Amino acid sequence: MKKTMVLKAKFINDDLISTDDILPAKFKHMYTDGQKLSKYLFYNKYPKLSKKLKNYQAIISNGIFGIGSSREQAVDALLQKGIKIIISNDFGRIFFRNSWNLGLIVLQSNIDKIKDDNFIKINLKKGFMKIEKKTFFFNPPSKYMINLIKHKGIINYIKETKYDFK
Amino acid sequence: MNIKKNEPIVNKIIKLHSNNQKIYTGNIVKVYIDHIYIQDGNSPTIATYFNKYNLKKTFNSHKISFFFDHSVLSINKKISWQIKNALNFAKKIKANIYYRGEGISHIIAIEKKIFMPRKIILGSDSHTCTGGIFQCLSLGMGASDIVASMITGKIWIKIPETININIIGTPHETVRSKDVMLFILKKYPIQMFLYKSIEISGEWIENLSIDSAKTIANMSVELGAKCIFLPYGKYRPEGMYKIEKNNGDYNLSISINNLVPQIAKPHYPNNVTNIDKLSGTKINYVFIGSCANSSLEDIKEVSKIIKNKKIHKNIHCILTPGSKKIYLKSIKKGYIQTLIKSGVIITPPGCGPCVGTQGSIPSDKDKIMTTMNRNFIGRMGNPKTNIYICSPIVAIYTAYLGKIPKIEDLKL
Repeated sequence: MKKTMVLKAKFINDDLISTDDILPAKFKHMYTDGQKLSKYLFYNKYPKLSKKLKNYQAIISNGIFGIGSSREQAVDALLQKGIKIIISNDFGRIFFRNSWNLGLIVLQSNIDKIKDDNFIKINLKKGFMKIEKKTFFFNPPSKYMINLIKHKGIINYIKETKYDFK
Repeated sequence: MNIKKNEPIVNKIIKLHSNNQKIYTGNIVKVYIDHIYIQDGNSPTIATYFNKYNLKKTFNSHKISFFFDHSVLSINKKISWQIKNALNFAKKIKANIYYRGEGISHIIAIEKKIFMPRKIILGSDSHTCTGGIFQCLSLGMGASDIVASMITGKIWIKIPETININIIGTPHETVRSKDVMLFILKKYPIQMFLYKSIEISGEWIENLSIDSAKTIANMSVELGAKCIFLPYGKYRPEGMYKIEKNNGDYNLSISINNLVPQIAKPHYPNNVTNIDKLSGTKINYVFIGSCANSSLEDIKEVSKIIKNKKIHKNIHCILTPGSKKIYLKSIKKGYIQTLIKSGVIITPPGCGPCVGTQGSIPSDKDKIMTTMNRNFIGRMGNPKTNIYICSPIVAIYTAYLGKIPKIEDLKL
């Protein structure tokens, strides 16, 4: 993993985004393939967003991201769209776990309103990122979480380590 | 002065399931799982993972159950295909199977004693938190976590902080547990409960029936909590811990004196207001059901209210019992006959129209009153609708009047 990553970020100005908002249930019940599901990202709440997202590698949100449903398929769909990192003020508990389990990096930081189409510079190990000349801090992910990313998800990880995490 | 507090229930249960006895807030520990259950929205993905990663054996097939509750009457052939695959997979790994029509996973987990005090249960559905009714540490998780636990019988858990909610007072006679939960959602920001374990205390909640208390446990995920623990009460299983007020890392005291029925407006369960702010709003679809409100007590109450009356001609009204057991008892008691006579449509036990994966899918511009736990935009399968959440009493009166009732309309 590179020390510093530079990613183009889409800003979503929203207090509360449910996992239903990220991916409606109906499509999850129809398909298991993340590529197919990625067409329906934010289908009900922001119908035009899915097409735009292909130009971005990160999402930044200033509210709670991913409250509610256990559907991991929402994370898979975001990954298939090319999203690698999500930064938000808060996350729903299950969405947070699901993200690391599939290899999507999710980071909690105090986000103000920022301009859209920013490039963000992130240093995961040191726990900071720069947007619009401002610096935002976060708790650097634990060794276990980095391992999940390196192994491309929890299932590979348990296969290789017999789930003997430290 | 430091007052030594009792160890939180979540810590005690985790300690019983872990070789690591350093159970402190923020620590991550590996725990052994007592049971895992999976619903039909995620079993197709789980079957795909087993195939993709060439996984063969589960840690113990007797401790794994598959439920087919979300798409009992499938709305299209793609969903039917996914269900068929998932069912074949469940048979192949020799898991316990609850077929379509048996009912909602969380309701059956109460009936079949899968939820028991001091157990750790994982479910591939966020409303698995319902097990908190019996002080079961029951956690909703996504497909990868579920697969990891199906293979190893273990899972990693972060020890959460505990928040105590002490409920005091007595509400208006038409107020049900659903209203109290909506009231808490209105009163406090979700951020306060995120990742936390909730312990609830107070005389009112100690006296709730299992059916009523279940609604409180069920909606703890709407607060963003990790898990919830309710106090011991009548007909509860043995082994529940005593919950003391002010024993949390954070402590809240909530008065429900003079509380009136609450309604969540579109499109979030925490967008809540008093019923009188919405009285008179015309509604055209009422759904009574979901894992929040589909119990025998709920069906008895709505049937009693609508007896010898007719559903309003502008209302499409559906009721879905939570389980086959509830359905059969409701038939035996005559509740279903009363409901059918009044014009209510009964659909087979399961999640009903709650997630838009079975009918009725609402039409554009529909205004829906429902006892569901969520009203996210498009939740029932059509984003061009407005969904309101309420208790079964308010739902049946809305169905009768064709509009949101006034408090004075609610007669028991």
